[in-house]
Amino acid sequence: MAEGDRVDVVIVGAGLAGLACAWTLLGHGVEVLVLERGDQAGAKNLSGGRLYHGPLESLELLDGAPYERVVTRESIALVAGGAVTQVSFASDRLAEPERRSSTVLRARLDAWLADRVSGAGGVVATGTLVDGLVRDDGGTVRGVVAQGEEILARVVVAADGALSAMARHGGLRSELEPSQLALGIKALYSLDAGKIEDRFCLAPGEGAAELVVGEITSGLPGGAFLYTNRDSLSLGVVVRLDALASDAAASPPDLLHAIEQRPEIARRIAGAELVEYGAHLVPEAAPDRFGRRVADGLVVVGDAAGLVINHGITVRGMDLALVSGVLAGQAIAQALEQDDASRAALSRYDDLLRDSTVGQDIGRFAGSAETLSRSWLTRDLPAIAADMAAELYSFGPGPKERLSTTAWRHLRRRVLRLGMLGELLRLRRL
Amino acid sequence: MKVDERLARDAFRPDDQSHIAIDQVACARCERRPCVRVCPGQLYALVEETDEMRVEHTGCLECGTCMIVCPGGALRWRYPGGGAGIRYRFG
Repeated sequence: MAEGDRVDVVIVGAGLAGLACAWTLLGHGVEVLVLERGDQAGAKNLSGGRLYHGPLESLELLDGAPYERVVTRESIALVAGGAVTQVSFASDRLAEPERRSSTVLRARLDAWLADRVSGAGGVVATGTLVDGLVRDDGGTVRGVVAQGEEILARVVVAADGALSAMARHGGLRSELEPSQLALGIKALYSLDAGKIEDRFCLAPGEGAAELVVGEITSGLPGGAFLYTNRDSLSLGVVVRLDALASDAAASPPDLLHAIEQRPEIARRIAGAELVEYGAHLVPEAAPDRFGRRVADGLVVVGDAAGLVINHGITVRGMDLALVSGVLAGQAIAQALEQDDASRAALSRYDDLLRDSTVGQDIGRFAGSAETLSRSWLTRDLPAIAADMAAELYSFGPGPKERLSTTAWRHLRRRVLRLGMLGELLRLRRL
Repeated sequence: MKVDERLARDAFRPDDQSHIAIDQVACARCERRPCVRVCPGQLYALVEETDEMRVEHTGCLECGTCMIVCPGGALRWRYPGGGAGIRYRFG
């Protein structure tokens, strides 16, 4: 299908969005060239990370993919002082095919997916940095410049991650601001699979996902996470960049160090060996405020399009990346069939995304990141929960109140008061 | 654990030239210097004698945080050349 030196589609970035897009295009008989700056797919990619399978329906690309563990134990802990108030949920129901989630390590997963794309006839050129876009006088994107060489294409897909130089070059968004991003840093600890299963009460192959908020981030909006992989633990912290950039904030390594010292974390990682340390920016603004997704000859997918949703008790981005890649692939294939790569033709991708279930979620949860950045959630709520639980679970020298009386007294004094009501109402956005 | 001990666990393929260029004039106008504190690799340091900002580009995790928080636009930040820089083995 190539005309002269021109390829059908150049995809910048062999992450989940780029590879899902490539796979879909190959299925439609479209020729793809994936350019990846890492010396293998996944070498530059870092996620928390867990992948929610539900929104992916039956994406064949993922059949047999190297997942770490299926999460069957969830918990979220609020920490204040020495107190930990925790809600946890353990159930086989979390492992049902329709609502399953798996922990993943991106270097393994992405390299495996890239092999599948290659096996299906796609070309994945690693170690290739894309410098910029080729645009004609009218501004239409006609290809990319990679290592000083022009590569012409009918459509370019920007799958180059949260910092997306391609989306910026293509005029689809302005410079990113700290308020649009969160910084995630992560330590990977190697630990024997049997020990992981003992420490987290897991059956072989099952996994746990623990979130911790409150003092653990020194009160900064964000939280810490601990995920179990097959024979390693992913321990990390994600904090909003605008808060982190304020002068009073701790440095990211100091935050991580403090987290590792907390007893509830220290016991989990005791004796485990640090094997990797990484950092990555995470889109935090509502995707529709991150930038536009389509221009003449150019489509933006995954993190590059800001496709991340923070639900508070869950955070998702990888499923959105895969779905956006698939939908972009479908729209591009149709546009190329009509030999029309204009913005109008390619905006079918936007329509497909908006009508998809993830698109509906993106719209519904557009305000959630703002809601979660409210400081009372990380500063006040953990202390309120701890004070209430301390009374509920104990007997002082005086007569015991009814449980409902104790609970109501705490709620009335500290939550159901002026100023806090607005905050509570905001929680409906989650 | 100190951050340089953490970085020592990572795999890097060094780039011959730095992918981060600092405009010292613009940098000197900034009093807050948030890059020094927010860099996850703690790679920025002010050289006291000359009041110049230095960055140890070989340990860069390529997150881009410094570029985003730099208030004075003093950083010209791009990715290292193809295949160079951080190489996540787990990710």
